[in-house]
Amino acid sequence: CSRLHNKPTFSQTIMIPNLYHNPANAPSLPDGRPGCTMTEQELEQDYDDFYEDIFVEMVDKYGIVEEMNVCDNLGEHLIGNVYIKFSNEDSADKAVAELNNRWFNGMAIKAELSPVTDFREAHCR
Amino acid sequence: QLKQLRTKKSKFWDKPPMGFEHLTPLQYKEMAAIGQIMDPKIT
Repeated sequence: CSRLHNKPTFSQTIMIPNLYHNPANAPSLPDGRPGCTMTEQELEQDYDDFYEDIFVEMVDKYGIVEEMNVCDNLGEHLIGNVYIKFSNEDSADKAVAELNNRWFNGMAIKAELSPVTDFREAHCR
Repeated sequence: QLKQLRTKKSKFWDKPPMGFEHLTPLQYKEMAAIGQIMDPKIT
């Protein structure tokens, strides 16, 4: 990936980088023990809770969500990225403008428009 | 209808980092960008 990502001026899709911190990716402790002791079921619940939290907030505040994906790639520029495709560009614009002045889990959100329209075809070049 | 999907109040939305409750996220990012705040998440 060249990291030279195209940033569109209008799009139905937004991207919020590094929003989901998967507990499974927690680094090992200094003594070598794993950084995550959660069971597979607990990890699934953690992800489900996160997904619901984001999805419901988007629909409630910004508009109809057609699709939402959370990136599980381990690349620094991809890990935990959340992609949300709204039903129209106005919703995406409003979401980016407002999310950039909101907190999430102690983090100042950085949201931007994304060129991705078909998640099945999306890949880093 | 969709509001009913939320089974519990969000623990994460609009929660600022501890000690920075007096700033807006925009102010926080501006200060981090010029090095007035050390934030590993902002480069």
